[in-house]
Amino acid sequence: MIPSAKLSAVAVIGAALALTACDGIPQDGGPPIIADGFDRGPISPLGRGRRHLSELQAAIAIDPDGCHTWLIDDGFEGYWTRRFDPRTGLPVCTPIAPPGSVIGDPFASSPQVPDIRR
Amino acid sequence: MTLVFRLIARHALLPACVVAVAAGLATPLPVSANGWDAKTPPRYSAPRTHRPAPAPQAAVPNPPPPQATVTARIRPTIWIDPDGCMHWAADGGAEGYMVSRVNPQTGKPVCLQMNTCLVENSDVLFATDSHRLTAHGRARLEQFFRTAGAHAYAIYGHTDSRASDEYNMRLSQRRAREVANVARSVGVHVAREMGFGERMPIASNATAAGMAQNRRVEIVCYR
Repeated sequence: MIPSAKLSAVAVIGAALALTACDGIPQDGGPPIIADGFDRGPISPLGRGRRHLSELQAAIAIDPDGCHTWLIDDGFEGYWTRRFDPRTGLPVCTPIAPPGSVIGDPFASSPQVPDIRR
Repeated sequence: MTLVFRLIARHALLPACVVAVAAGLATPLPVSANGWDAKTPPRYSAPRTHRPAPAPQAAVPNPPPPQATVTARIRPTIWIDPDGCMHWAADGGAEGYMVSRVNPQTGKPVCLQMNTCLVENSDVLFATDSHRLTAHGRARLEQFFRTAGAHAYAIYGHTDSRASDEYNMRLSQRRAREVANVARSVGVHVAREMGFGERMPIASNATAAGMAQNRRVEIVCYR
């Protein structure tokens, strides 16, 4: 028997998924376009308007090797991507914090959206 | 008569043979194997320092690879990180995807030139062909490192294309070390110090102005 609290959590997530499904990516009849540059989290169906992903704000995460990664939690999606030195293309691995640390606010792009992991 | 004809037919090659022997006798024998001869002094040729360039190796026209079956498409956008480097970002509804944008030839990230902290001309910092900082150069760098306020710094030395590649590599490495020492002496952390010699020009080495631009020290701030 599944506890009802767990069931309702599943229902909430299911509803969110259903909402995002309604807010599908425009298709053109070719192979399905599965991702694009607009934020399609649970925000847009509530009428706040879609944001463009170029507006995302990142924190820095220190990976287990000590190298910096840009970390973004936009409320529904999570992103991370390697930080590189713009001149040489080498990774940035300055020990400004122990591996596993996050510096800055990874939720800066989603201040009003409760995250399911928080 | 028939005998004469037979002789001629049998020894048809005789005249040619006689001519060849006569020509051989007429040709003067070489005086010495290396061609030193009072009548015909050898032509001077400079000692060869390089092997002759090999004939260019032509590339066989490259056929395109077989095309894979397209199952879906993506329409990513550009996200620019605080260092000015680009990343491809896409939202799939309930998933997010992001990956750094790289130059397909070099593998290096594609970045706007917006966050290099300082590009200093070497002529301002150093004496010609020396890694010794001028008093003015040292003061300028100390001031910079005291006030820039980054977590750490990467220091890259570059030269113009005069002198040998090897010499320029060493000079730029010594200059990077010198600038890094100034940084450390005022209490800031140096993440990297490297010299690239003449290998990463930002301008043409064909003009004096271009060479001056290439003689530089770049400092990247890791904020």
